[in-house]
Amino acid sequence: MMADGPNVPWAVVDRSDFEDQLRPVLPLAFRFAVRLAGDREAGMDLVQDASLLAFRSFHQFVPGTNFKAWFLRILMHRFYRTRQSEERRSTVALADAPESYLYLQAKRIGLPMKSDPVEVILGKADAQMVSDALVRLPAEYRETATLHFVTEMSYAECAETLEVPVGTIRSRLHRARRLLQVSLWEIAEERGYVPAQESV
Amino acid sequence: MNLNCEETYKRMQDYLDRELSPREMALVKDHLDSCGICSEEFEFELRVLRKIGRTLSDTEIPSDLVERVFASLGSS
Repeated sequence: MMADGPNVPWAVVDRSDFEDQLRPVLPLAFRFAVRLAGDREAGMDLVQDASLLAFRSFHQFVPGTNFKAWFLRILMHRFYRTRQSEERRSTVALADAPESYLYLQAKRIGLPMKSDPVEVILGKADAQMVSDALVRLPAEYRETATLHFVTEMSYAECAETLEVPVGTIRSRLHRARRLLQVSLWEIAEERGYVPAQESV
Repeated sequence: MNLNCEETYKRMQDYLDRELSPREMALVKDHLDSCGICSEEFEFELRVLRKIGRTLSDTEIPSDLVERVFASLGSS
């Protein structure tokens, strides 16, 4: 796949320097891209596109700054540029997402806390189920949660990558987790992993 | 200074992410060491976060990832 890119003098960029910086970031970038794009093939395309864009823009990278954050920012921009026309798929409302939702549900259905209640609820959750749960979140929460979970970046690094204040990352992440727990419970109910809540 | 349950709960997410100051981390830990109700909920939340993180990161890396990406640069 060929990426769009600005007309810049990328040919003069030191390729070996670029590759040295990119190489250690690629595994993490691939994991992140797979979760963003939805499958391995699309994730690979995304990483390759982002790498090409980054190579062409490498003259703009400031040596000594955070290459990982810089590269993941390019990757995310590329992802959203190709998905502009996609309709929003979020279905979970923040108003319906109390704190500690799974904990409250575990209490409600009487799971013993001395065993492993999380395993009961999420034991069958595979990467696809968690991805499906993330898709139900509004985009800004989905991207923040995915970035934080997959890369284990600090709030400050996530803020640098997404170019938003640290406080924004904090609030988005906290809300994303609330929404994600509701979303995971809904899917677990739909799949029969946990008893469905009785309708009132 | 000691934190009560409500003050501790407000710091839960930042505590689990180790994003509090060292002093606040210690204050929360002190409370958790003495409060079974809060420590049970914190432990539950921590397990949920770990499970989600492990699951999302469980992506096999192609053995030729670096080669494929670098080759795509070369053909540009």
